[in-house]
Formats: sequence, C-alpha cells, structure tokens
Amino acid sequence: MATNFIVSVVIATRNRAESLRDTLDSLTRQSRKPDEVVVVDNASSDHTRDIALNFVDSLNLKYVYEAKRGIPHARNAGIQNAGGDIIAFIDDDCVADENWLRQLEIPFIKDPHVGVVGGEISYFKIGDDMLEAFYIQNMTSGQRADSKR
Amino acid sequence: MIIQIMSNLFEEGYLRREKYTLLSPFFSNGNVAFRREALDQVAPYDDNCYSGEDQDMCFRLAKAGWELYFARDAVVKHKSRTTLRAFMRQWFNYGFHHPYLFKKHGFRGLRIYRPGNRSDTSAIYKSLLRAVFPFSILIFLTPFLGIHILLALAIIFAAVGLHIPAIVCGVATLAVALYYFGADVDVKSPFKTCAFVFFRYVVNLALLVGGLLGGLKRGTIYISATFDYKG
Repeated sequence: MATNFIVSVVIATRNRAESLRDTLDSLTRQSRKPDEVVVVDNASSDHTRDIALNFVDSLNLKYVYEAKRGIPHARNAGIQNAGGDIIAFIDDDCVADENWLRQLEIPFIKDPHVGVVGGEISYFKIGDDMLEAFYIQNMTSGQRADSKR
Repeated sequence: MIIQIMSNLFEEGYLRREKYTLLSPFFSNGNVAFRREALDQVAPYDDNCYSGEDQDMCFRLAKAGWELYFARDAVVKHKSRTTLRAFMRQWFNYGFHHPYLFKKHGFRGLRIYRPGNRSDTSAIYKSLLRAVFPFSILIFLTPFLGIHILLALAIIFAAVGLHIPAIVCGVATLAVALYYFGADVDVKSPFKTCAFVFFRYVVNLALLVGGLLGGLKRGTIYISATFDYKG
C-alpha cells in the first residue's frame, strides 16, 4: 500500500534479549516494513544491546539506552527518539503477525480523526498445564472464539 | 467515567463514546499505534503510572477528541509463560495502581457499577454524597463480591441462631457461585474444573485486595471489578 506516512515501531525492553530477537525477527518479515525501529533498552544487564545492534541495517534500527527504570520513562524515551508520523508499540515478549503493521496503519489512512489504533493480542501456547490453558482462555483481549463471559 | 481494568475488546471498529458511557476502553501498550499529532498533544506518559500508563494515555486522547479504533486483524502474539504467583501479582498490581487513575481524572463521590449496566444511574448518589463524604467510594457489584457478602451473611445469621435466613443466604451463595464459576465447569474433567475455579478465585482475590489497599493509599474505598468483567 502506497502511503505518505512514516511509521516508527518502538520497543521498550529490559533483560529479555533472546525474546527481543524474536520480536525484531518478526518485524523484518512485515508485509508493510517499518520505516524505523526504536529499541529502548531500559537499563538491561544482559546482551540486549548486541541483539538490537544486529538489526541496525535490516530494520533501520535506533538503539536508545534509558537508565531510569520504569515503563513510562522507557516509553517517553521511545517517543522522543521516534521520527514517524505514526508510532506503533510492541512489547519485547510479543511477536507480530506478518500483516500487523499494515493493518494497524489502515485506520489512520482512512480517517484523519483516528488518533489511536489498537490491535488484537493473542497467546502462544508453550506448555500444556492448566494454568496456561486458563491464562490463554481468559487473557486474550480480542478473542476470535467467542468467550462465554 | 471510569477506566476499564481490562482491555477486552471484541468488535472491529471505533470505540464510540456513546457505546462506552461508563467504562472507558483502552488499548494495551503491547499492541497499539498513535498518530504523532495526537501523541504530541497529550504526551508524555505519566511518570506516576507504574501500571495503567496505557489506560491513562488512551483516556487522555479520547478526552482530547481523538477517535480510538480497534483493528482486529493487527495481531500480535504474546508468549504465555506465567506462574500462578506472577499471574496473581500482575492483577494485584493492576488493582493497586488503578485508584491513582481515578484520583487523577477527578473521580469523587460514590459510584456503584453492576455488570451489563451501561448508563450512569449512580449520578444521583454521587452528587448527594460528594457533599457528605470527604473521600470517594467506588464499588463494582460483581457476582464475585456477591458470593462473599452472601456467605458472610449466612455465617452471621447462623451464629446468632437465625436458621431460616442462614439457609436462604447459604443457598443464594451457592447459586451465585454456580452462576459465576459455571463457565469453568467441564463435566468431562473434574480436575480441570477445580483448577479453573481455583485460578479464577485466587486471581480475583489478588485483584480485590490490591484494589482495596491501593484505594486506601489514595483515600478511596475501591471494590474492584473482577478481571473477567465486561463493562
């Protein structure tokens, strides 16, 4: 889709280097490529920086270190360093579907009054214990299967 | 206007204000995008929001007149690793930090919400009690709360020797419990039923206690909604 928007993706992260790699990998596979990715390292002590720097070329990635701990600080640092007309957020323990960014952008293109677009968060099944089954059933925000409650 | 505790959205489209007169919906920060122009109007994120900064941001943007749009096909998958302890702590924290948002957005007086009620019928109590109480009270009348109130009544009646009311309250407790936990009943698997009921109970308890303590810290009596509450 041809658009005039510049889209930045911001990821705030702390000490989840391996998981962050999966998130960044999923961004390289987007049908609508992000124009810029900002990784805000919120005082990590692991190899988060090395992982992020691996994607500098493939994702036009900007690495930002924020020493002050806390979600609001990290997100504000992300906003300040993002140059896009649209700023999308994804968490470091999430993986984006291939059409994620494209679908997130469409409502902004269609309607200039739209200030915020949210997407669906679904869950990967990793193990098969009861707690996980319960968690997945109850914590999905926009579940496709209709929930009883 | 009260900010919803869980972002449970199902329908693609605008989060119209007339549709959400009571509970202000929001998008979790795990999957959201902002128009720069909108963000610049209300940024930065509130440093005092240790939790709920996403709720706060969406609320401020909606108040500034921006439309919120839920795009179902913009999917992000979250890794579901969790322990019961982490799950409970997560909801304790949501409850604990929620009253800060009420205070910040000028909530005062008394408000009582019940599930399925989308019009603000408590405005009258609110204006009456605003003058009387120096603090605010916010109660979600949920089945979960009902179970505990009825059980407490049954115990009190039994203790003072009023057997008939005690039995009535006891039966009512069971009925509400069945209604609330009914969705977790799986006749083919008693073990799964017990596990799910247990999880639902303890996570809600964590949320309720978190909300009570967080409310007291902010000078509010706050009886939280349950985590599965659909406003």
